[in-house]
Amino acid sequence: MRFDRLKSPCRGHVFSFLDRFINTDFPPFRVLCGSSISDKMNKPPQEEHTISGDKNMTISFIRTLLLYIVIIVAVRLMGKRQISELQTSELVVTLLISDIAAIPMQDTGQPLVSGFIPIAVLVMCEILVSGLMLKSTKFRKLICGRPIIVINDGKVDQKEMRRLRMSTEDLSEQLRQKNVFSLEDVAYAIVETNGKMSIIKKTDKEQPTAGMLGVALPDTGLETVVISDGVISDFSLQLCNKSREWLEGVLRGKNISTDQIFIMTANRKGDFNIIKKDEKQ
Amino acid sequence: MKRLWACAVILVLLITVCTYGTVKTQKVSEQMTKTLESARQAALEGDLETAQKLSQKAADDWHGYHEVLCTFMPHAPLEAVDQTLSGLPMLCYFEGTDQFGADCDRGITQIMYLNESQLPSIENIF
Repeated sequence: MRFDRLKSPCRGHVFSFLDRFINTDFPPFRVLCGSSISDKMNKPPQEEHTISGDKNMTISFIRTLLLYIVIIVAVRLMGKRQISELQTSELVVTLLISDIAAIPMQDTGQPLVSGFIPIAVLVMCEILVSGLMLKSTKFRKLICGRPIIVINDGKVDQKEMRRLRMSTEDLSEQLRQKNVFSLEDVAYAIVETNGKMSIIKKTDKEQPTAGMLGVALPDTGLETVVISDGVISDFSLQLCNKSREWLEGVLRGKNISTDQIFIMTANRKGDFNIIKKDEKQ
Repeated sequence: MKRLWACAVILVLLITVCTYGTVKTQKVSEQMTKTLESARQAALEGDLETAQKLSQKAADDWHGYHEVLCTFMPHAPLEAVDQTLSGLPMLCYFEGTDQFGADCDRGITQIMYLNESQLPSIENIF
């Protein structure tokens, strides 16, 4: 071994030599540490800890902001369905995204990309799966299942309830949530693929509609908020087929300016409702 | 349709980022391993000056690579390599060759581990 002709100082022995250089600006220290070890050694340990803690907090702050933006973009990309009624695949994606985002947010030792990549993959899969579900009914059935009829023609299907692991209490609760307080009133109850229950009442228990009663109700069209907190919404005006000129005419007639209005609604027929802002105390 | 395009763009981006990460790690690990092997060999042959220069080069190169690698790799294993490499020039300077050789081996193993951990192999996936 050619090591024999070399000195064999142990690591401790080597570092005992460091004492001689500790107050010098020996080049390897400068290169590797950014500043000389003597600079670092002169810093009180408490100060060092505080600076690192502050940096970590700033990193967490910036990372959280970035992940927040990424999640907003991800949810927007996945579409409105994601924020209303969740299908199986959507529920899985939503749970996973929230979990994945938390890791790089809290652990600054993890690269931010380790959060971005799984989120991007999940968004991609979700878009693909929802696209495929639109194209193929079989695929949709495979992912979402099919609606299950638990009350069929007034009869409770116990077999289907067992399959769904749905208790009688669950059934009663869901019926009550739909304003049905007696099983007698239900003709059909269907558990949809998103877990919600749709109910069709027996014909004699249904409330009569205006059409059945032969009553002609005025069609006022869509009512929209045209002024909100003093700001006019051109989009809402368009929705109720009204123009800015019509709005200005109404405000002139009422002798009121937009700044004074808290909320103003209008419909296609031209009916409107104005609520003024409260007087400042 | 727009969403499907967005999906395609995400897929391309993901493939690019993942391939870049794997290739870059492999390239860095190969280069760093080569430098450290040379430094260890030079120390074994008693050429401590070359060994010190090479270990210094390894530390400098690693400093540059670290900035890129830490954007897609967990920081803890990278910091372990930092710590190993930072001691090498000094070990050589004070002729601690046995320790130098051991630390070179440790550095090589740590760098190899980084490379292996990035590979999409069966072991890593499961």
